[in-house]
Amino acid sequence: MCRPTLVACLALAVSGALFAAGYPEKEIRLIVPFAAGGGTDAVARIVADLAAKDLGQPIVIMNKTGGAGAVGMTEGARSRPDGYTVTMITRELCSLYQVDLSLVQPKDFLPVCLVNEDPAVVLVPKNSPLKSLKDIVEGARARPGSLKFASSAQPNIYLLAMMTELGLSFNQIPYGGAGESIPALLGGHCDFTMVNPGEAIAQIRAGELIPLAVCSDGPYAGLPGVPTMRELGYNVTASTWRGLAVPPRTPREIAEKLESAFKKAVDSPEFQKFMADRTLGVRFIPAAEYMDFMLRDAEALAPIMKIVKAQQGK
Amino acid sequence: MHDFLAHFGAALAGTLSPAILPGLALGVAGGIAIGALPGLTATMGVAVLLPLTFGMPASVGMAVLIGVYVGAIYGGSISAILLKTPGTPAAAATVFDGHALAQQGLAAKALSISTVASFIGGLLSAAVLVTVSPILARMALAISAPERLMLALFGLTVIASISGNSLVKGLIAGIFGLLVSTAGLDYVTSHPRFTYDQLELFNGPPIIPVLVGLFALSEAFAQMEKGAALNATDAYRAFKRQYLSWTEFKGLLPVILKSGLIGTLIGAIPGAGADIAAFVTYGEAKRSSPDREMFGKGALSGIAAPEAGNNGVTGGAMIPLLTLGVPGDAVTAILLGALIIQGLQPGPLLFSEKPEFVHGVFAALVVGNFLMLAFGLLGIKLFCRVVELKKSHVIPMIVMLSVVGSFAMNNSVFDVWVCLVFGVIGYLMQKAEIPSSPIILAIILGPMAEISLRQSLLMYEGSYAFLWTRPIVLAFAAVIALSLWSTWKINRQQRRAAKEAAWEG
Amino acid sequence: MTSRMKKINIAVVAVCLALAGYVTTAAAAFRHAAGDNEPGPAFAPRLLAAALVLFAAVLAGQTLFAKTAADRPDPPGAGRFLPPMTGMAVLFAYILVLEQLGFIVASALLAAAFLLACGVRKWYVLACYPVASSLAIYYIFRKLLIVFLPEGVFHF
Repeated sequence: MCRPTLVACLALAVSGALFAAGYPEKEIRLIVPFAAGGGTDAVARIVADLAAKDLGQPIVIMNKTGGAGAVGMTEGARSRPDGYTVTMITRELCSLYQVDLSLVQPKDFLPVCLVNEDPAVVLVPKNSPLKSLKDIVEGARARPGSLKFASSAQPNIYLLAMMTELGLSFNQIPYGGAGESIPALLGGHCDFTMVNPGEAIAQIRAGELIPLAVCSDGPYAGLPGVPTMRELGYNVTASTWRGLAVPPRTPREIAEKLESAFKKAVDSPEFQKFMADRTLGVRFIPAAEYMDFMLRDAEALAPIMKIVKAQQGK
Repeated sequence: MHDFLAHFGAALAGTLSPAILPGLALGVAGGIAIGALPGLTATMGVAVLLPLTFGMPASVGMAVLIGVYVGAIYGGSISAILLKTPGTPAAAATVFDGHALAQQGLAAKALSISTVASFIGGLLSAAVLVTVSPILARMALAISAPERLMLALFGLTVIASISGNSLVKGLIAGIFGLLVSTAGLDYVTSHPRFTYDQLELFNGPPIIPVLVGLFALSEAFAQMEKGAALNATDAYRAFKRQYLSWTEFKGLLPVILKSGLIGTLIGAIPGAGADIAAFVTYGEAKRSSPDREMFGKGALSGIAAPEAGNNGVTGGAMIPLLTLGVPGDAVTAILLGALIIQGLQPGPLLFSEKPEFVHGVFAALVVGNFLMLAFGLLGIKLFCRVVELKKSHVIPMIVMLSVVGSFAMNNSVFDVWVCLVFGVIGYLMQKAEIPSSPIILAIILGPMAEISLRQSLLMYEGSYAFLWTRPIVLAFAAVIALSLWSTWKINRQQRRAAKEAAWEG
Repeated sequence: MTSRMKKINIAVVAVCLALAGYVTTAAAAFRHAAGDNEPGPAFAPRLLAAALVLFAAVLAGQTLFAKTAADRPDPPGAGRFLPPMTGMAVLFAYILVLEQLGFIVASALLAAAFLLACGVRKWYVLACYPVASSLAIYYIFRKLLIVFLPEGVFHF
């Protein structure tokens, strides 16, 4: 490498290190691409609260909603790479761009760590004639497109996972979030739904909603006694995850500081208890493996997203 | 019963204690301020103060947030009456008669009506919450897409009532508003409609910048035309210190109670909030009022009804929240999140597992309404000071606050552009004598109508049978028909009167 | 109906027809995806465009068949378009520079411009009011409401 370039690189590295040495010197913004009061928002607030203690500066939540997460994540990816804007990224980062609903994809971020993963759970109302997952599958086979599914988000990756794997079709009724799809189920207007356990745990514990199957890899601790899809003989897994990321050119030292702070937060007994109490899953993946995780996830989602694209008429 | 009174009494005592009362009072006062500022909404106020409640025990935090909720929904009426700009979307229906009354020099009376009506509506909803929530929650669950469609259509018929002199122009404005409301990602198919690749439009047009631009900015522009005459003392500035009289109050009480009840019911329906309640109660009050021609010109019921209705939503929206764990409107959706973060599990078991907490919520709602009444009545003199300020000083402040209000919700400069665009549109509409309020009504209710229609068709697999096989839908249809017929009758009377006046004149 | 209002109405009719035409053409591109059960994303815009044409036609009819009355003179508080136009131009410029200059500087200038447009001439008002109010708003929103208004390149 020629002299001037070497000097320039050294200067950059030194200044980067100096910059990082004082970090953080003021509040850090955490962009949450979903509405205040929702599941992603709750996870963000708790992990931020704990990580802030380690970093010594407050972490302020900024809800930037829109486009099922696309707006907030786009802003996060394009923000200044100085470590003062962190973004909570979710599985939509891997799915939306494949159907032209987002301008950002995993490679537009520098991942910090994954903090949470929640499986989908199949729910029916308490007096439903559908007593088991088999009833749903057979009902859909007998009368394709007649069983009413209350969908909390469009496109619905959870239902699509089930549809593509098992070759079924349902009558999807669109709703704006679990806050609308769950009442639809409670009121008997739809036959079943798929949400994350934390979104319906209160109704499940009260017996208003009955979980028929959980779509995780192995038995899910938060829902003891509920069989997994695989145990029932259906090879369907569906989940969502949430993690943290910064813009791509953020100095390495700063990203590492963030990762260590968030790791401490996730490992803390406070966080573990908090998430367990609310039936939110904890899963930690460090920065080094997070990008691979996301790229593999995007690949896994590709067949489903292709179907969505076809449905959109493209 | 005895048990219940004991629990509630204890909760009441707790709320009035130094541990909770100051927080609740600050919440109510802060909420009133937030609601009064154009562009800051109740939803935003609760979302912003949410993190501050983390350090506090759950009952204190909830009390603060409930205070903000109650205060903000009332606070919107202050700027609606004084500045012709609703401070929150829930006050959009209060502008018509509220500001008309203020322009007649009766700003203090309008404010006192709004305060008292909000108080009674809120208290009524608290009473319903405390007594019959489980039953009402079950009933509210029976509301599905077809019923929401009819609710939205009924709300949309109010466009005819707020069209002023020209029904056609009001309808044109309404259609324009409905077209604007279709912008965004399609609800069912996620296909982008009129988004021009702007990510910020994916969720639909931002309501607050549209509201602020259409009302505050366009009014500022219109006022600026006055030039030197801007600061002239008119009836508005030389307002009489008249408040609501006892006789007037007795006359308004039936409307207030009915509107408060309607507001409670609308709040109990998941997904329908204070802004919808304001227009629905306004429309219903006008339909059933003996002097409906006065609506829009300063009718007292025109202020009392929407204010009782929108505060009625506060208790109503808590009904599904506390009995089923499902939010009744956008604010309670945030409260749900707050409760989850606090470690409570709002759901069907909340009442049996944590009765002291639930009673604490009841008590906070009741006491919060009393505090709102106190602050509101005491503050009327202060609020009216705004009226006395020179317009040339107030207008720049309104413009600045409009900009901030548009920006603040989503931290977005795009939203400020939207505000400016609609400010210009609103100003041009004023020049063309086209009413601008139908646009807001259409933006609020349009999505609910279109989405509910398509959800209903999907549920019934393409058939329109939901229109004639569901009793609630039929009841709504009857009310809509009645409302349209009575509006048409008024319109005919007005046109006849105008013709006769032209003959004689 | 005054002749000025008639001209305005015809302009409104023209705008409505243009808008309806635009919406109908744009809506043709909306893909219908969810099958036959529901009408698709193009249904509402097309229906609304048709209604707009209908109402515009009614307005045109009303305007053309109304007796033309004499133009009323502008009331004493109206008709001077320069201040509001200036206001709109100032706001336009403001939004353009907002993120560069930051909220405090830009809003102070905005307030000053509007004060001038509203006829305020006292120099001490023009100096103190904008600065004080934009500082106050910035800090109240920053500290109390935790809303970050644009900082601009000066990093206040």
